[in-house]
Amino acid sequence: MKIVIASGKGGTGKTTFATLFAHAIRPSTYVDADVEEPNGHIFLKPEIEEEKDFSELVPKIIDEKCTFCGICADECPYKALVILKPTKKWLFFSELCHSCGICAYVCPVKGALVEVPKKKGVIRKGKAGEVKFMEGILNLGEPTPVPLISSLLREIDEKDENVIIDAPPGTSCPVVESLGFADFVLLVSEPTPFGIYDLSLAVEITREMKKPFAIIENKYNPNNHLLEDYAKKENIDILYRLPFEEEIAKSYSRGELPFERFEESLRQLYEEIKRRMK
Amino acid sequence: MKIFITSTGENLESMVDPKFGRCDYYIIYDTETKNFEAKGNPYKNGQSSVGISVAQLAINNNCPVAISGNYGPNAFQVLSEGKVKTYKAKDDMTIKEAVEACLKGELEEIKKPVSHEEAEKIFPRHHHHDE
Repeated sequence: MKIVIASGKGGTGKTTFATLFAHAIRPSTYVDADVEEPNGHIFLKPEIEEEKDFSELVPKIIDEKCTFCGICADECPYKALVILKPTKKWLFFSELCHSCGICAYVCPVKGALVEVPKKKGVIRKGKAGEVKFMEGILNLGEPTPVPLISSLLREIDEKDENVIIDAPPGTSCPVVESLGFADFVLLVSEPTPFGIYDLSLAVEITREMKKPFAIIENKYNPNNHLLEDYAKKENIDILYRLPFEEEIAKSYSRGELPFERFEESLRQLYEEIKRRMK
Repeated sequence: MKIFITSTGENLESMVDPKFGRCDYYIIYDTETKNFEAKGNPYKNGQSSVGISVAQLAINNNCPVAISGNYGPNAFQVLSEGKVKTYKAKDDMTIKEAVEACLKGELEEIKKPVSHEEAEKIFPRHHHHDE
């Protein structure tokens, strides 16, 4: 089973929860799909055993063959190519290119525009005890993390049973891509107005994608009922609560988490999710 | 010679628009015939890379000179590759004043673009997540 940990708002505790959870249900696989800022490795401290480049195709124009007709630039939806007809020059803005391939498709001159691979990030794999570790790291300045997330999540071994996918924050394409791989979704939220507003957006998307889901409440304070009230109103279960404690925040800031303390209750949570999936 | 000027309006009494890529109008002024042509900027509200597109308008209309306020890095690169000289109009200049000042050699020639960071300060805009 693949469980995607998402949130809407950033900083609600996705990685805290996802690493605690992956550790508790070991043997498991933890996948950090927040490729723009992967940080699960800080807490799981894996030994990296394999690292490979992630590349995508970008255009290269062959001056001797190009007629500077400009069709590639006209058709590029991202304006990444510029053809200067008067001076017979071409410019390529790689930070705008989404590797969609339209330029190569529309070029009418054989061999004038070829596609060459460009490294856009890496995929790393390793082990943290009985937790298999995978992460993607996108190069700075790349226009979209979606292709790397997609490649990373396709590399999950189908034989792996207990897979935890740590999704990026937000509710845009990178999150949708991650949710697509989910059998079950856990939305980590905090009992604040911002947390609940962004959670409500994540709930909408998860419902739209018809994925079974529940809420994990982080920074839980028994005197604060904001999140509970929202969950009741929306008829969503809060399946687990991580307490709001200075000690947890302090250990987090040192790159440590109280793995043993929540282990037993997180295993029970996993059993509950399995029951719901039957 | 044709001059490409970013403008806030459709005639020579309009003010120069200091925004290059997101200017309201662009005016192409012919110094020989003294005729001009004004058009709305079709890229004004584009999501991104509008500077690149407007720069290409200058090049494809065979203008060797551009007058604006600030040029972004991408627009500047396209203009310089296209051999378009870039001049900065002073604050509150009309199109007519800017053209005259340019022809008298009174405008500053811009040799380097405004950085993305500086551009954010000059023209703050709403950030959005890609796609």
